[in-house]
Amino acid sequence: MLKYRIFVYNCPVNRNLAKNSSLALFSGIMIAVMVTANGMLAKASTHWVSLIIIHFAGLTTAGIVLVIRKETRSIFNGVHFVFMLGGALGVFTILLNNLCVNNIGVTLTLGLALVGQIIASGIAEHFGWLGVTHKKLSINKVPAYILMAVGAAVMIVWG
Amino acid sequence: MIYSFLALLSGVNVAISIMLNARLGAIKGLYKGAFINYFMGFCITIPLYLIIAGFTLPTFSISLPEIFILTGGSIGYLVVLINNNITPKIGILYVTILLFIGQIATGALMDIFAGDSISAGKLIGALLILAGLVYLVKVENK
Repeated sequence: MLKYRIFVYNCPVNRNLAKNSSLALFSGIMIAVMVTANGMLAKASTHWVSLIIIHFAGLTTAGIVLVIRKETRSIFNGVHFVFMLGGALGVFTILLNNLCVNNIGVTLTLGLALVGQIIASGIAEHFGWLGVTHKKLSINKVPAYILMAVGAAVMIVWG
Repeated sequence: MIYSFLALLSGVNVAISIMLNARLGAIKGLYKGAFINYFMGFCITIPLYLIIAGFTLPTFSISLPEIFILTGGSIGYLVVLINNNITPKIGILYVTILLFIGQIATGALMDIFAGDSISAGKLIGALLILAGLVYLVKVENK
């Protein structure tokens, strides 16, 4: 199985650092707007209807971009089925987010989701799961994970 | 408490989808990969709806100022394109830190607009998580 690196931690070229950093900030703002919009949609309709509308909107946008870029040929060829399942998992991510946003608010949902994401990526790297480059957890990273876990606990208990 | 657990679970879910989608993008390219991602999601939502709600047509109404809540899927697509574009250039941890700052600041504003107050606990917790992320960057860059 082809091994590849997903997590490019070091930054070899600081090309357009300011531009790319502002893009990252903008992207974060859009995520918060999106999670709020999806939560409101789930409240206005139902969880299940909102999932259909959200994915229809995304699918249409992605389809229009493919047509504009003239990349409409052989879209599904040569991909193992397992690697297509990311989109199926995405459904449950949105469902969980919609459930949480309407009960514990945007800040807590996004904060805790990030901690879950970082810890899961760390575990996948440590064991080399899902084709991620095997990279054992080094002891000097442990304080970082502890800080984040404490942050999550503070958010849950006193949030 | 149960919702806090679900939020953590959502993050785990995101991590697994990112790993699968990175592989998909490496094979099919960014734009086809994102299309397949939404196509698979859409294919799951229809049977899910039919199982839960049965064969009934959904009815709901939103007011005109609320029309933006229909665009969540398109915003998600935009976010994926931006993130996949900048991650190879400035590194996943920098991207994650900046995403986190943007998300939490905007999320806090949204919560305030929605009428919920932002507690000190939420702010301190968010700052601790941010400190952990910055520490991780320091260790990685050593």
